[in-house]
Amino acid sequence: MKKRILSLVTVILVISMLVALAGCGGNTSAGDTTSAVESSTTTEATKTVADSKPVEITYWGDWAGEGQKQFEVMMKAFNESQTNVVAKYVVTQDMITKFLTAASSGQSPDIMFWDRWRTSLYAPKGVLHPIDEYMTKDNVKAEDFYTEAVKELTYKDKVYGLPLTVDARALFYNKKLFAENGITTPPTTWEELNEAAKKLTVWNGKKLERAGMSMQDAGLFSMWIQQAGGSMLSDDGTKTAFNSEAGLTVLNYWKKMVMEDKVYKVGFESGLDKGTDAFATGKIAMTYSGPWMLSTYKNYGKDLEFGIVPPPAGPNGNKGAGIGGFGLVIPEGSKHKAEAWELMKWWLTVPENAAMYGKTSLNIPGLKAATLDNFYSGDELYKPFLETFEFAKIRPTVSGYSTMEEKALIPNLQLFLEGKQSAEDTLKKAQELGDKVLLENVIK
Amino acid sequence: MKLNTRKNVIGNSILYLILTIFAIVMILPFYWTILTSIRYNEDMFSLPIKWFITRITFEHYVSAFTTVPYAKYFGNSLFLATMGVLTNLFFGSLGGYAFAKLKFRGKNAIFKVLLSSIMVPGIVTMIPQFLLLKNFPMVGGNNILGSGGIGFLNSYWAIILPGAAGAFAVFLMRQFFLSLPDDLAESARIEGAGEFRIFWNIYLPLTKPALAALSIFTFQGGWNNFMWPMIILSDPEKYTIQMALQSFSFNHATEYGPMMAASIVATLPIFILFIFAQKYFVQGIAFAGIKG
Amino acid sequence: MTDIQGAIIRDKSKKIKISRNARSQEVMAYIFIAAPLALFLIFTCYPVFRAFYLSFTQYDILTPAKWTGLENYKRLLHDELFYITLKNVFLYVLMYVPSMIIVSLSIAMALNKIQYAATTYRVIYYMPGLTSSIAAATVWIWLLNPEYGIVNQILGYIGIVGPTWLANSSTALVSIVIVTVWQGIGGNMVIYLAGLQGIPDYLYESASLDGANKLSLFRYITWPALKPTTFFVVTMSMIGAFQLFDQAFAMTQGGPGNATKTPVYLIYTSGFNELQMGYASTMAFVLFLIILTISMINMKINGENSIN
Repeated sequence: MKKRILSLVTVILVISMLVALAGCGGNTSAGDTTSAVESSTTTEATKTVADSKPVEITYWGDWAGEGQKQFEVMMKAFNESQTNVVAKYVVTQDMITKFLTAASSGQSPDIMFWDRWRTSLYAPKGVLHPIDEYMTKDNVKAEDFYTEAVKELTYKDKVYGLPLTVDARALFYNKKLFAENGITTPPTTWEELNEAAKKLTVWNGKKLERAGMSMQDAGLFSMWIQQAGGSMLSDDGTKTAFNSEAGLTVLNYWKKMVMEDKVYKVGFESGLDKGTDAFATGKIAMTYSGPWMLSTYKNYGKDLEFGIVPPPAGPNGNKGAGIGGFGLVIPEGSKHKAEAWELMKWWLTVPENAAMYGKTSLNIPGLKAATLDNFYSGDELYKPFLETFEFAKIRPTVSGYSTMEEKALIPNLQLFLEGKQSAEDTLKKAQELGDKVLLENVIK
Repeated sequence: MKLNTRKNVIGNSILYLILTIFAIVMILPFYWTILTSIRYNEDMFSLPIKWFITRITFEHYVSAFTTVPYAKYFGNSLFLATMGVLTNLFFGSLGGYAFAKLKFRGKNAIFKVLLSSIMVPGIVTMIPQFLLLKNFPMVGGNNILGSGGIGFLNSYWAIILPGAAGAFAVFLMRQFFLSLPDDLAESARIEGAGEFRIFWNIYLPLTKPALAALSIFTFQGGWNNFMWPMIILSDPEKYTIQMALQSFSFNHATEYGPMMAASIVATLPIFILFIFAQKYFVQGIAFAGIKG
Repeated sequence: MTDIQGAIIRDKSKKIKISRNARSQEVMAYIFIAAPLALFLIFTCYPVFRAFYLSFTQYDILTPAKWTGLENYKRLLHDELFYITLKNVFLYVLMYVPSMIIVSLSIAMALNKIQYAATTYRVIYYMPGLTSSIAAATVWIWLLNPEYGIVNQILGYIGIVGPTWLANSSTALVSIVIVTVWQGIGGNMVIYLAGLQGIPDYLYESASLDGANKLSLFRYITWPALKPTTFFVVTMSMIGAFQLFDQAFAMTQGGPGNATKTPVYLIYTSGFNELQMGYASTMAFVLFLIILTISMINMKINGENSIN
């Protein structure tokens, strides 16, 4: 019996060993040596950038496919522009999750592609490195960039990164359909928007053939309420402020569009944003969209002729739009912060380079000087966005803001659009839950 | 007799008809995936949706696999998934057999604890598991207290070990051993056969259909595993196929052509394994099938 | 058991051998489960306990956890969103698990019966499990589109104005049930196919000779013989269903109007988007207790304990 147990244990052990040998033997040790080499070179490298062999830095982003190629173009150009630093782009899907674990295990990248609105949540945790020193040293001025975008990268008077791209939503309209329906000028006010939408909508019995205006995205409420003269949060950012006259104005207007004038049917676009597109195929005559769709429409929409105008103004002439986009940040865990700054400075503060990225990727650069390029200022599709930036605002830089929208506001707005609750109830419920969510997400 | 056969023919035809209608629903999304992967970009957006196409292109396959060292990632994934299958088949059936057929103290309690572990949503154990692997003593440059190095991070151990004997495998195999009669073992024991031999020679061969099913599940699980390898691995040499092909999206847009092309190719190994393994599901029904 | 006892009584000379057998059996059993158990204790149990500890803390992943006692649990008591998600997931489980059993067992039995092209059908029915989840979600959203989707077009032919499916808070959850059952059929069908192989043919033959009809063959032979298999499928489907997340996220992002938000959705967003991993762990443990309780009830109902 004992012998059998012994042989059995041996079998199990042998199997485990085989797995071990086949699996990981070589790899683990290889990993060790590289990391050891890295850490030993780090300290020297930061001191003497100029002489020794080039320092390798890693740039993380979650853009794959074409987006990856565009980044790689920039990496190549940067690496050829100097001899001290070699930058490499690494596609990192689910980047935030990976960053959370990497930050706690010393595997941080050196520079990172950054959805700017996240700054207010991450900067207080001390995982991003402030770049004020570098900016002063190299005389880089925050005013050279879109102010709102820099504001979004700022926490407690410290700047944590620079804007790479800026975007906003503007009104896309189908020129062909406008001409067919005798509309000569694109809408500039809510009233004109409503009139145009009514003319453009086509019903075939109970079936909606073409929607005049896309009313799908309840998340755009923050932009509508600015146009109505209201705001999302109180001035100190601790409470919601949308349960107001302005909020009610927005919902009444939505109600008029969707339920009374029936220029849209909830669910009409369901699934059409994935793989096919209701605007590109002429099923929707007007929609709010951003510069990111330009390349898609250029590639896929062969029969589409469209124009863009800044978002129409509300009843009292207020203009409103949200400005968003991406930036570059340096994680606190980076071992080559100075070199990462070199890349950031080269890419974002030199107008030619910023414009080069913008042009290859069809994005609008965050550096104002770069948008003076004729490619943008002389283009009828980009100009409306540049005009929109003049009055567009970032989302509030309060850590719980996006959670509040997602948990409290949008679900209630969706129920409203379905006709399941009144405008007053919607705003009241969203306010109650929203205030609570904001409180729960205050960073202590 | 004649009436009976006719009734059978009608019954069978109806059965086939129903099965075929269902089959169309089952395969439609897959069909669409293939269609998208060979469609020209200009034809991509169309309404109503076109289920048939007149011209095809393989450009998406080219673009999906030119940016990525495909063969290497394919090999890495194959290795990890195969390891998962081997360890789970062995440990899963061994453990499952013990829980089903052997008597020992604490059996039910241990089994319940094992089972209940999979009831905790994995996303909250992910970070603790990650930290455990990072601070694992005496590996990856760590000292005996688990600090100083990177532990199991960036190594395949961190992917193979935690899933080497999943509760799923033990549970599945236990259920199949339960449905087998006990007296096979009793008589073998009386003849003096050892426990491992009873397991290995008598019971294990009878669970081939279950082993086939388990192989498919664990292979597919390992092959499709994305999140965990992504968190663990940082050396691009070790990346897996899913990490490379997870998405072709950027800036609010997705390139559907290359993404679908990539997902088709990434599916092939499981597809082949399934065709190979599914024949074990029909063993021994030679008689059951005819009676109808 | 009774066989052994009988043997003991009948033959005293074998007694010593059998009790030695019982002891060695126990030793062997521990060896058999040693590896799974060790791995389990290290890589599953420990992280679970760690997460349990975190449920009493404020933990943002990036900085060390701060002990806050029962704070998170108190907060959970007043978290109306958590209750909404619990209600959603209960409804979902009630719809999902029974439909999953019925559909996958029916298909497995049908595929077990047919003689021609069985392989082809088996492969086809397993296809949804192979289809990339993004592709599957995309296509299903199209199929369910209120204006252009095939589902509503077919309903239109028979004079029914179909609902707006995923875009309507009353039908969104049902739509998710349809898609997840569709996706899960393949795997459970395979388990049932494997289970059906374990039923000895002679049982059917002798019952048929006794004049039993198909229904009673199913009721008295197939169903009882598949009991361990069904217990497995029910348990795993249930655990999976309570942890619904991916599909709901891919198809509706939890909407419209919270109708498809699930507890795991909240846990995920709290943990990784809001960096409140402590509170996320609290929700996870309450969810765990719920799943555990229901699994216990399931064990009782299915008489799982009596099998031993």
